[in-house]
Amino acid sequence: MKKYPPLVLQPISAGFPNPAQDSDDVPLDLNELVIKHPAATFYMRVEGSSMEGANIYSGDIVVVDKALEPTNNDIVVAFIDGEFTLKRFRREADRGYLLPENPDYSPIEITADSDFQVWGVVTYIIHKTRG
Amino acid sequence: MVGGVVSHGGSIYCFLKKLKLTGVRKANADSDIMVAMNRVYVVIDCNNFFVSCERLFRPDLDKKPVIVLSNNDGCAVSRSNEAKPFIPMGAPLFKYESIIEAKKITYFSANFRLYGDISQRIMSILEQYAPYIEQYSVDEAFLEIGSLSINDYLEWGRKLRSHVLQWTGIPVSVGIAPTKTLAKAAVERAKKDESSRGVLSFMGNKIRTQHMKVLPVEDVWGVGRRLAPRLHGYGIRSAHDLSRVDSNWIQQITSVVSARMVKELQGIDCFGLDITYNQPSKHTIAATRTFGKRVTAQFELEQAIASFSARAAHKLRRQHQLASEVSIFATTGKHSSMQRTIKARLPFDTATADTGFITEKAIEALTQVYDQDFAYKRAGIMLTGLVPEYAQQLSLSQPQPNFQQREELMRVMDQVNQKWGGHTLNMAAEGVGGSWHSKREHTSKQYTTNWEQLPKVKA
Repeated sequence: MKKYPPLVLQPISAGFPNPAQDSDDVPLDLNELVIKHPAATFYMRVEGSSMEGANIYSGDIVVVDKALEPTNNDIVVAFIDGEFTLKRFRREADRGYLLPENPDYSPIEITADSDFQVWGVVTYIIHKTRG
Repeated sequence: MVGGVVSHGGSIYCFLKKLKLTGVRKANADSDIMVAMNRVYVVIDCNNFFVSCERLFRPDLDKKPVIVLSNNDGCAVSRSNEAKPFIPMGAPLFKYESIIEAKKITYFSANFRLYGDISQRIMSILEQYAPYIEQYSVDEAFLEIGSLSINDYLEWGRKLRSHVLQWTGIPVSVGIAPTKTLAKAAVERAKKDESSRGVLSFMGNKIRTQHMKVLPVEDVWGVGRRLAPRLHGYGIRSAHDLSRVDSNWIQQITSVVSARMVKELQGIDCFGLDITYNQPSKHTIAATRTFGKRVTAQFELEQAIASFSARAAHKLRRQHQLASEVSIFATTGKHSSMQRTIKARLPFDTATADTGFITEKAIEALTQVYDQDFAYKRAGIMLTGLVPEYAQQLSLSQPQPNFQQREELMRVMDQVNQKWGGHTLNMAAEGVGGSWHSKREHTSKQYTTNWEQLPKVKA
């Protein structure tokens, strides 16, 4: 939701232009950094350890953007075999793969028959370090 | 034009200020000629909206029979296409338990917070497409795009549909036409005609006529259940038949309201767009309606309240304001054998313009005062305690400094209660967090409004 900047006005001086006048006096907003397409952005909670090689851990929150088209090496949320899955998307020639980031897990090949859908592309991972 | 009263679908709308939209005026540099552009209306209608919202987080339910039930009396208020043959609109859960089990129909209790959130996302996408927009209900909006230079309306409509689908997962139907009534007809046809792939433009006569001949007259916006049989009696069976009728004649046998509808079918814009937010009111935003057919079931009233909430919240956001409280009312009016008025007001802890939150509160208010089925004629919601958007920091849980005002309010409430009988005016519970759940055992999670209830993704 758009916030209005506070009504703080720089005093207008007749002489020198104030370089600070052009800069935003708005406090940094994490939403603006992290959410490029608000209408298409959703959060999901990670469960499981197959993406630890990409520094995504169980309990993390991923920011998922449905507006983005998945490109090679994106981390995506896919819906496969009846559940949401977090994997790295890899496209090679005419084949697609959903790769884990953990040697204990195996890759999933996507074929024309796969009951598969990329739900959205992960843009940020929120990992809590304390508490 | 001020104070026009228009009826359609059996309902009566009061356009307090009908803006004369003449579109963009282009001045010819040479001769200073003003050219008024013709209006182009678009209706965007989400397909089986509540079900579609549930499917967003449950893609496993695509192409499966799914229904969503009203909060309190468990009546089906949204059904997937796969469920429609088995469950009629308004079907009470308990009567259909065996079919639900036999056909493996998944059911949810309505999750208005979620639906409101998704509705808001869709509206924000639509706002990128059109300069003028009127949110009609939680899942429907009118756009006016006459001032845009668009060569291929169908292409434009397809792009819009695909954009909404990709970003929010919600499939919508799009109808484009020179009047609202025609655009509504186009959407009806888009839903029924699979070859249209969800988008239909009635800007061209040939396609329009083709479809109007196939659209039954009872599916035209403005033809109620009473009018349709009378029209059949005159041999008017299709929308096309109705468009060929003389509007003066129709006015004589019914009303000026139907005459306007016929003119709209003929391509003459009579309604305009309700965009009164362009003249923002500082104190109240209301969304009310007089029902053509009296509302006697709680789930119907609940749906109406949900619609009004979405409408009002949208107006609020367009005015860059937040509301501190919502009031709802429903009345049978005076011309009723059994008179009843119910009212309730719920304040918010924090001022908001969020559709989902406001809807949930409005329905909570309704639930608290709804006791019996009466034949309600009119209902509405009001958003008050409006503050500018940037005043979001203000907390409302502090005691009001103006005790005199509050005393006055209590006095008025007492008077009303006396006049109409006890319990007609309630100051419903204040500052309720989330403790009201009553019969919503089958609600899906608050996927988009509660950090503890995020959808899970397996790694």
